Parts: sequence; C-alpha cells; structure tokens
Amino acid sequence: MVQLKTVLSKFYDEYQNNTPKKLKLIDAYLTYILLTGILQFAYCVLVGTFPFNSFLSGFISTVSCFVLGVCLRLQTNTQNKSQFIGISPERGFADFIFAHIILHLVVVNFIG
Amino acid sequence: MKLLGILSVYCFLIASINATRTVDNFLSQSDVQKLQNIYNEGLKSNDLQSIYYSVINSKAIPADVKANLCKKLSTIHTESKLNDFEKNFYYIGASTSLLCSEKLPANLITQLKSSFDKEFSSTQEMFYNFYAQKALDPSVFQESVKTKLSKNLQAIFKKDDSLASLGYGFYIASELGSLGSFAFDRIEDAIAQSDEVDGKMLQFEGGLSITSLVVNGAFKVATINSKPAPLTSEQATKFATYFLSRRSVTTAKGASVLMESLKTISEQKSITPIAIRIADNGQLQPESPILKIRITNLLGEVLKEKPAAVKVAIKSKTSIQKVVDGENLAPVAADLTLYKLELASKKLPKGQYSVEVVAGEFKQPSLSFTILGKVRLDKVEVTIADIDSQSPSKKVLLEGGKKFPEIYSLDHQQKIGLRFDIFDDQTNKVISVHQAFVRFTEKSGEEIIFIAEQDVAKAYKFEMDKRPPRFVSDLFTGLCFAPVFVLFILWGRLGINCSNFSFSLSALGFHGGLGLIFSLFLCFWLQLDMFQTIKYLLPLALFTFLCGNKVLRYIASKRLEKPAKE
Repeated sequence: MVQLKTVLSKFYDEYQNNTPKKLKLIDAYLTYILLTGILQFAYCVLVGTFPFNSFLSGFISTVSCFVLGVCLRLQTNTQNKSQFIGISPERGFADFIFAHIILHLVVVNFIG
Repeated sequence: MKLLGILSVYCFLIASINATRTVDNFLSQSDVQKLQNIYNEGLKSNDLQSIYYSVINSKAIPADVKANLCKKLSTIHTESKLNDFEKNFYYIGASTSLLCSEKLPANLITQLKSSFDKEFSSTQEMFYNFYAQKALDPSVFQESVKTKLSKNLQAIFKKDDSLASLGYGFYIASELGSLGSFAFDRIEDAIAQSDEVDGKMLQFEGGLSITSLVVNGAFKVATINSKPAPLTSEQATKFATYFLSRRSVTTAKGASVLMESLKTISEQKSITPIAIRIADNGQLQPESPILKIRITNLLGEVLKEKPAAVKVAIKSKTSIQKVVDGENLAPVAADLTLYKLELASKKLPKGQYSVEVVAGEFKQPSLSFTILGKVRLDKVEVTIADIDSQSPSKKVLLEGGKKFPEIYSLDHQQKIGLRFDIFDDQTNKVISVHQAFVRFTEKSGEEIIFIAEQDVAKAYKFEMDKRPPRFVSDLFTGLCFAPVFVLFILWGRLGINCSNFSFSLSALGFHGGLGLIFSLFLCFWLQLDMFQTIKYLLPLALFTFLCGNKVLRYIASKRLEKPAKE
C-alpha cells in the first residue's frame, strides 16, 4: 500500500514537472470529455436509452472528441517529433478543428 | 430464309388456334399527354430531327414559336451532323409544314430535284429525297420518274434486302401505285424476320424505328395495291403489344413513329386487336363491388363497331372455383368504353380473382381484380402495470366496438399494454394482417406510431416503451454541463495563456468563423436540413480556413523564430 502510494506520488510529480504546459491543457480537455462521456453512459444504464439516436450521437460525439484529442496530444508532443516529421503542432491543430467540424455535422444530423 | 418462313407460318398456325386478339393496355390520355410534352420540348430544342417530328405532330403551334423556328431552321440545318439527304428532308419538311416565309436556299432545291436524274444507291437515300421533294413539289413525279424509281428500287432490293432497306423501300413502293406492287411479295420475307419476345411480342432487330418502318411500310404497300393485310391477327396483336410496351419513348421521332404504328394497326379492321382491361385500379369495395371493364381500340378510343355482348367468367384465385360463368356486362351510359357487372348479389368473399372477358371474336383470357375486405377490432384489452411487476394492476376488456369508459392516467413508474383481435367483418373469423399499426395522436396533432406484433393466439399486442420522468432527464442534461466547469477550473489552475492572442483581423475571423459554424450546426439541429446547412457551411468553412491558415502560419513562424522553451 505504501509502495503504491509512493509510486503514485512519484508518477504525479513526474507528470507535474516534466509535462509541457500545452499537453497539460490538452489533458484537462480530455478529462472533461471523459467525464461527460461517463455521465452519458450512466444515464443510459440508470434511466434508459429512450431517444436512442440522441443518446447514440451524443455518446459517439464524446468518444470521437476524446479520440481526436488524443491524436492532437500525440502530434503536439515533442517526444513524438520523430514520428510526425513535417507535421507542425499548428498543422495538427488545424486537422483537429477540421475533423471536429465534419464530426459534428454528422452528429447533429443524427441527433434528430 | 425459306425454311424460317415455313417454320414461322407453321408457328402462326399453332398460335392462331389460341388467338385472342386483345391487349391489356392502350394509349391512355396521360400517355398522349406525355407524347405531346415530348413534342413541346422538341419545338424548343436545337435538334433538327426533333424539331421536324415535333412540328408535324403539333396541331397548334403559337405564332411566336413558329416565327422563331423559321428563323433558326437554316442555322440548325447547317450545323446538323446528320446525312446530307436526311437533314435536307427534315429542313424542307419542317419549313413547309410551318409555312415559313423564309425562302429555302436555291441550291438546295435544285440539288434535290437533280438527284432524281441519277440512280440512288440505297432505299434510305431514296426515301428521304422522295419525301423531301414530295413536300416541296410533288408535280416532279411524272410517270417517267416513277418508272425510273421503280426500276431503281427493284435493283436495290436485289442487292440489299436488309430490314431497313426493305422498310424504306416499302414506303417508296406505296407511293408508286401499281408500279410498286412488286414490293408486296417481299413483305412476307420481311415479317418472317421478326423476333418474338416472351411469346407475347413481335419486334424487329433494331428496335422501335425499324419495327415501325417495316410494319407501316408493309401496310401501306398492301393498302395501295388492295391486297389483304400483311399480318395475321395474331401477329398484329403481338406487334401492338410491342408498340404499347414502348410508350415510354423520350425522343420526338420515337413518339411520332409509335403513334403512327398504333394508328396503322388499329385502322385494320379485320386484324386489329382491341384493348380489354380492368378500369380503375381493380380494387373493389366490399360494400358495393362493381367490376368495371374498359374496352377500347389501341389508341384508347371508343370502338367503331361495338361488340354485341360482353361476357365474363370469374374465378377465385385461392379456391380456383368458377364463381361467375358467362354473365353479360352492362354498358355504362356515361362512358362508351366502359362495361360493368354488379357483384354484390354474388356475395364473393374478399380475395383475388381472375376474370376472362369475351367480346364477340375478342377474348381477354386473364385479368385480375381484388375484392377488398373490411376488418373489425374486437376483444381490445388494455393493461396497466408497474414497470417491474409482471401482473397488471388494471385490466380493461372492450368488446363489440365499445369505447373506453374513462380516461386513464399513467406515470413513469407504469407501463401500458394493448392487445386486440382482428376479425374479418364478413366471415367473423380472426385473421392475420400483413402489419398492424397502433397510432397515438395528441390533441396538438403530434403522433407516434407503434407496430403491434402477433402472438401465437393470432392476437396483436404491443407495449409502450418506458420513458423517464422529465425531472430525471433535466437533471442529467444539467449534469452533462458540469464537466465544462471542471475543464475551466483545471485550465485556470494550469494558467491558460491568453496573452498570445493577437487581435489581428484573421485571428478574429478564425475564431468568429468557428463560432459561426457551430451556431450553424445548432440551427441545423433546430430547423435547417442537410442541403441548406451545406450551402451555408461551404462559404463559411472557406472563410474560416483562409483565416485559420493565416493565423496558424503566423504562430508557427513566431515559434520557429525563437526556439521553443518547452
């Protein structure tokens, strides 16, 4: 137990000190999306899926936003630079925005 | 070829035993209107052939359309990519039937006239030159010219006896009077080359235009020489079936030859088929089942010689029993093409029936109609139960079409179920229907439709989906907004850096554009449809893209100037 505690606190310190601020901001965004998704799922389990298409499009929206967010985080992370040669963080952000517009066009179409 | 001829004659002998001389379709008013629309379009087109066929088939062309056509004919003729003789024919034909005041080019007229001094190499060329000259000045065709044409035609027939060659040749031969009588002997050969489709239709390879060319030409030759009709009634029926199947033509030429062919066949009293079909949609109401049969010629007109008696025999398709045998139909006074039979006294059960109609020498062996049935709901049972419990807390059974005695109110903890039997009104038996729907309508006009499933006892039932109470839904809607604050709190603690935001035009455009796009999506959700949304989205997205490109480029260049700290 104590070990676990030290591992976790070390992990936290590492994260706090070694993670660029930009990535922390993205992580905050990802946390927000995750929480929203959990709430939607809880509603579905506890209450029911009545307007099923609305539930589905909402849930798909959060899941996709999360995935897109993770992609952005991967592309902007300086440690991954070698894998994304020629893709600047700005380019990554532009892709992120573009994908969001397409995604939400579909989501809104389906929401009913 | 001869073998084929004998074979086909033999086939016709067999077939003519079952000769019925009826078709189950005719050129209806709406078909005629459709063809007329093709001509109306043709008058507006810039295609010489369409213009010609539209002009000769339109009865009243407005003066301004006429003047406009006359003006542009010469240009269209010059630009046309058709054969010289073919486009000259359309030009001269259209110009003369429009009575244009514009003069035809002099060299065109002399060239056409001099073409009759030489020999023609094909019947097609002869056909177009002949009819162009006939429209312009038929006095050219003296006996000497006709004799020359007749010899020319016989020579070509020897060289080329293809269907098209024969077809065009028949037309010319019919114009030459007795000088063209040799062509009659070629008709049988030509007709023998027709192909049968499904045992119902006859057509020539090459489609509508060749088929109508040969059939019309053959009839013309036979008529002018006072010979018997070149087709048997069986063949005429099959050709008529083919022509009627091509009512959906889209070209002016197709429409024109189609109408000409149907007219030609329907004028041949001794062999023409007639159309016998069920009037309306063939669905008879159970209260007053009246069978209505329409009998017309191929063009949908009243027959010149009306049949003395029209008899029907009706068979049930399910039991294959004859339910009506040889009863006379009564003519309907208001519509001369209509005949009817009251079926109410026969007490026929609902279902599908086939009917055989005999009108003198004409016989339509199988038409179908349906007698509709009336159904009645009975043993309607409503159950109200708690969501979790199996046994209902309330059960109401209604019989004999009664209404519910009271209004029931339910809350979100309860569910409602409905169960009913469907009876045939006539036989009083429980029946299965294809699908049963239950519709709930609110006073405001909103409605929701459920599909009721059939159970083993043939009863229909369905249960309404449970819905959460409003409060719970609203609570969760609110809860879904909560993580936004979590986001802001986290971002606040991390120290979001807004100082980098440059208030340049493009930066404002980018963020404003994004905001507008998402507002547009909101409108899409609330009222717009996909097409409207995309129409607005495209320019907006383009604008946002250009601004975004500029902003991000600027940020990137700034980052590269001073190497990133992080």
